[in-house]
Amino acid sequence: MQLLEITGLQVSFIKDREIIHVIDSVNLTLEAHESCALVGESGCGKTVLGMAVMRLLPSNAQIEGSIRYRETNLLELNSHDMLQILGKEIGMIPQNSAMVLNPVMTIGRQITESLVLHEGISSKTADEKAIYLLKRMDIPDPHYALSQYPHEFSGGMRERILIAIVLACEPTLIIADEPTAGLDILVRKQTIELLMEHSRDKTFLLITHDLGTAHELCSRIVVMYAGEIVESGNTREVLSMPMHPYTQGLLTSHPSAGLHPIPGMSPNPGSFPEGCRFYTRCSSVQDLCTKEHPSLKETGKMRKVRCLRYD
Amino acid sequence: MIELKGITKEYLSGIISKHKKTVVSDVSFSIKKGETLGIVGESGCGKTTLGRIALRLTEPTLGEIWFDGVEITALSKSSMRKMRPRMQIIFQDPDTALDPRMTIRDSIAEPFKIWERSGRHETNEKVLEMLDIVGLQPDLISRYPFELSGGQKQRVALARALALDPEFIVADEPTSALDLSVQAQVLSLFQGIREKKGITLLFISHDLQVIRNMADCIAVMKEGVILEIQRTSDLFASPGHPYTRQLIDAEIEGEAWFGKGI
Repeated sequence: MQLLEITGLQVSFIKDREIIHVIDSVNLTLEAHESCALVGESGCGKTVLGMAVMRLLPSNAQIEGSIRYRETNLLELNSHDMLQILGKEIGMIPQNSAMVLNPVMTIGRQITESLVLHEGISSKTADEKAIYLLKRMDIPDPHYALSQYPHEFSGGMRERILIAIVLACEPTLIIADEPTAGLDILVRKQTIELLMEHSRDKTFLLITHDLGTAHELCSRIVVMYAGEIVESGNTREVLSMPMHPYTQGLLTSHPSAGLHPIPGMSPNPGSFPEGCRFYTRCSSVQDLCTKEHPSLKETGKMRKVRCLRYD
Repeated sequence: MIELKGITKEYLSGIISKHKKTVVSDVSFSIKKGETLGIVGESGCGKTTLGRIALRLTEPTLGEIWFDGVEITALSKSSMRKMRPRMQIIFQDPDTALDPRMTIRDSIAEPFKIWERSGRHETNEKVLEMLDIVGLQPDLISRYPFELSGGQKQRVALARALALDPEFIVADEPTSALDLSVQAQVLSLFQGIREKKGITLLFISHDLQVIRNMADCIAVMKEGVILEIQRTSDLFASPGHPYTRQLIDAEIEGEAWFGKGI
């Protein structure tokens, strides 16, 4: 069953009377209970995509296409109906735990807020549930933690508190944006294990630039570059046999491969090159690449790539 | 080139009853000229404090620092100042390391101005030369930091650190804020310059794989103590401490996907 279906999504921002396209014709479908990773470097549009699904983009954003969750097109909902879905049906673990938690609100209030709103339970029952959630997230002395403030916790603990907040109302779909960024290796390992355990019966969209995390948590991977999908497929297959030159470059940039970078810089939104958007940095560029914009072609089971070499 | 002997740093807190917190405890190491020592450890282990102490940006409570045969912990403020251009630091976060109200030109020119190494016209040329070394376009010269990407800002920080031809650089997590491909770009650029100029480097990171690519020797740090120091290849082949083993295992597990069939 398809849980989330994004069709022809186009996001542009209006800045100084100029229209800047950030995401171009993205199609992405998530089956129920599927885990999918969305990878790419900063500025490629992956966070904007997550925010678009949550309808959290600022008012100068223009969104075209459709984002279908079950039977509903989220883009057509009014804010009251959207609130019924946020947190309850779709939960988001946002980027940067230090900025996201409210610094002047206790952890307890922040976890129980959505429980009281969506489930209509008493604050006492909600507190009990919060303690249970914190316990599952390995937060020491969860009873006391309810009355503590975010600054009293380490980065890894704050990330786990965020996960607890999102899990509180047991959403069907979880969108996690860089949940492991800035964490030390051992803390990162613990966070991934917790996410793995608790996302098992959920549909999971992971937004990250960490290929290792993507591999550990997701069966499918979608690679984005300059606002569009350039490659997708089974995670293991894509990472072991990358087809798009950009995916190949990402892998050789990895410290384990000896830090061999892709030359040049990714283009800024608004100044994407004509033809293939990657051609200025591509080592196997041909004449045609500078003129013709490649389409996303199916090359095998579940496998798609946007490169003229595979036409 | 640089040697730390028995470095300890304690902080006192509390108004009435003083609590003593030891951040770095009896640390000794030395780095040979032109070599790189990597310090790896989790956040809060004291590695950043240690990096600052190596440059005497933070005063140690106990211990000696020797730089090129001189005990810099014994130097007066003014003689220490004379040593400053020979040692530099690159910070973790390029956003806070660069002054948001200064153009790239002013940021890179500042060390030249302070040390009166050149006249105005010369300075401009030198700034352009520095931009070229770190692979930035000359037209960025009159931009402000907010107009630059993270990778570009870290290159500017690198240009500024290299401006006075230092012999010793402390790099404190220089790429932890950057993407994979940008990290690879900045680090390989840095490695190239370092080799060419024979700079001695203290490289601090929590990423063992990054350190492995950068360092000749690695020191593993936990809770203010150095658990072991070994040549990089030896450390990975036979880690001496269970914590190092744990770090390497977590790393291997995390990278298990990597290299299969590539």
